Amino acid sequence: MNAIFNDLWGFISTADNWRGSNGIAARAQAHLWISFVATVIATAIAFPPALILAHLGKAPVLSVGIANIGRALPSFAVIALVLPISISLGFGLGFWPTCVALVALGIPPIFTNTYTGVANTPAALREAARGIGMTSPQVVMKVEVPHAMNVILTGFRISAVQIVATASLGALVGYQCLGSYVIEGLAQPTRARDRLLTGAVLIAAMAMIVDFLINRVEGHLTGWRSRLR
Amino acid sequence: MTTNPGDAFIWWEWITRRPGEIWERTIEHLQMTVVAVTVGCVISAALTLIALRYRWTLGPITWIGNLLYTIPSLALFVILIPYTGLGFLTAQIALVSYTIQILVRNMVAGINSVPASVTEAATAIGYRRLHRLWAVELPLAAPTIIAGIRIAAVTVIGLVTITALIGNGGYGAFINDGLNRRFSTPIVLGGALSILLALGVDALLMLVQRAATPWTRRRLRPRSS
Amino acid sequence: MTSAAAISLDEVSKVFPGSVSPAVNRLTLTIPQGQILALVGPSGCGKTTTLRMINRLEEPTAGQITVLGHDHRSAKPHELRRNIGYVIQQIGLFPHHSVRRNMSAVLELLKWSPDRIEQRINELTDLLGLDPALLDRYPSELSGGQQQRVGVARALAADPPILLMDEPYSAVDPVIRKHLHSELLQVQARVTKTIVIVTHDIDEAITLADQVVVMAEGGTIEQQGTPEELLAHPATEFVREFLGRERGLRRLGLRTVGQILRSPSRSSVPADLEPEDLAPEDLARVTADTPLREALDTILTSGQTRAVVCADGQKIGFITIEHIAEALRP
Repeated sequence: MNAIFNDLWGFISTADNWRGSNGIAARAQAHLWISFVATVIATAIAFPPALILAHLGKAPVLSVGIANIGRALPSFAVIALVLPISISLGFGLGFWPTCVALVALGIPPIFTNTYTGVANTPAALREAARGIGMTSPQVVMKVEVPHAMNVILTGFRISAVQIVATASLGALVGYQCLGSYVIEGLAQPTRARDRLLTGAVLIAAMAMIVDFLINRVEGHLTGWRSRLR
Repeated sequence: MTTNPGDAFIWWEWITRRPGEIWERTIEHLQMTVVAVTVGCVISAALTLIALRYRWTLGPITWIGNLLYTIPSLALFVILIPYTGLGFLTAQIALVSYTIQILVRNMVAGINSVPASVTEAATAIGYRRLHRLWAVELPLAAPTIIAGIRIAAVTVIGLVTITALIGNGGYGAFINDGLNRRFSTPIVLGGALSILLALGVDALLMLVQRAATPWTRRRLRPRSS
Repeated sequence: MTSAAAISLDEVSKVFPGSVSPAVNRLTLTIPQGQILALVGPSGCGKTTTLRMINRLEEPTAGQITVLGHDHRSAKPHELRRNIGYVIQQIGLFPHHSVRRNMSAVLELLKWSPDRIEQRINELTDLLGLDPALLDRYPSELSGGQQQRVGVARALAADPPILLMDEPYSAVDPVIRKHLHSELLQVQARVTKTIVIVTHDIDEAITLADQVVVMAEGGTIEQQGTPEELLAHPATEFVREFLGRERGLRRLGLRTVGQILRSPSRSSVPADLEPEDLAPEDLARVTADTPLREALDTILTSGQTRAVVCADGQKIGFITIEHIAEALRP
């Protein structure tokens, strides 16, 4: 136990390990940046159609299908596919190929939760909104979205955390990030335990921090719910 | 790229030459999944009983479940390596810990979804606590509990592929192989088989659920008494 | 009907944890065997809590409850409950069991043999007028009224001497409720149970009960008596308010045309009026079974001051508004 902790602390507390293009700082930043971009793009792709389809009550089967496929999709395979596809198409490796794979994995939770949350707006609430003269866009923005907000944010959080987790695998296809420590560690025959552990702990910490922060935002934006009880 | 005639995305002949290997990987993958979900169910059922009996424990149990669920699988595998080494046990501990969040949540929700009037009627008829849990609450919670098992199984099947990175077999071994050789066919094969297995297991469990809960299907209401 | 006590409550109180004021406060009540007793009162008066203490779904904080001669704590709760039928508003049928298994739930707990259970279910379907075709359905496939009947059948399955009913009819629509009321009275005429029914509906209490207990907030009894006694002589302002403005009309609902025709002080056919004086079609018709409240309505609606009383199509007399008014005189 102690030896393991010493390994970890020894690596993290060495200033040299933080500096340079292969340092902790640069890799953590790259990890966060690709996660952020992928989450934003996934949201931009998944949110609007889910909102519109749910408002119109269309394509419930599609929503269930996306949820199921999303869960069944093995992140390892999706990331691994970047390598042959991107190379054979001539895009090379790096930020964008990895980002595309992450976006693909981030779409399902956002789509499904947005769809379910909005589709589950009580009919009476919708009727009442129309009854006081709201237009369709107003019903969506002033009634359905606020009502579904916590479900939507939960989907967003699941997506973001999954993207942060899977970005580690980006190291397998040549993207420098916190996962690189793990991959380097696993690849060395002598098992560089300090690098392995550092990578794992930093990845876990980043996922938990992202989860925690979005949770806080969730609590803040949907505070009216807790006050109802 | 390895020897891939015409640089095709999928080299079918490579696949058809390996029925034995595919079968072996399928068995490995299923084994990992079944063990993880079964152990997960047992642990989650115990935790659920504790949470139902002592309500204050539900918060901490949920919190720990969420925490474990949030830790990325790769990181959890690696953190466990110094303790349990590379291989089956490490993979199982991590996989089981993911199922707990899903299963406890659904088990508690399932039991809580039983209408108070039904449990009350059971008590008033003279059911004792454990008998009531077994004969009334458990069957009524079954749809929600099985839904949780379905989600857990599908999630675990996806995660099992990653365990190839720490030396396990299963479909992940194909993917790993493809990555090392920059060869797309095994990657596609491993991914596709994993999806098929997940959808197959999901469909199977859905059939189990329908067979086990016939009362959820018939709903013809005659007009009046 | 015997008047021995089936259930008695002696200075029973219930204070819920975290509450300052008692839900039920030193309540003393005797429930006679073989009668229907209604507990009525506004919400929060402790009537449901009182009921639930009898089968120990709630434990009293003070006082003693005697059920059929024994302290109700002398048996284990689940054993006590197997001898007390219980019907609630939401019915609480087991959704995963067929109607048949719902009805036999208590019998299975009591470990009856399958043959005996089968026989008992046949008796129950007959007693409650259930269509045997419903036995193999699930509760969700039944209408509200049918579910309510199955709920009563389940409660009566083991032939318990006591039946507790908590707002059993508030969830069914008024027409079906009326049916279920008369069915309950028919069942009671055949099996004679001690029935305690909690309701907030004073009309339901008047229709069903031999004894009505009016409770006030804070879990105390305002008045106990027969429906007639309560309506004729409300003991307090609270009871008067609770019974409402139509006390006179409600009392008329308790008696029938036949009852005042048979009464010796009033001749069935007034001397100054021969039946032949008016053609029958000019007058509305009532029968001996018609409640006085309905008869009065019939007379007023017809625009006359009297109606013909018929039996088997034969005129047997007349009834006038004055006769009806006299019926309420002390």
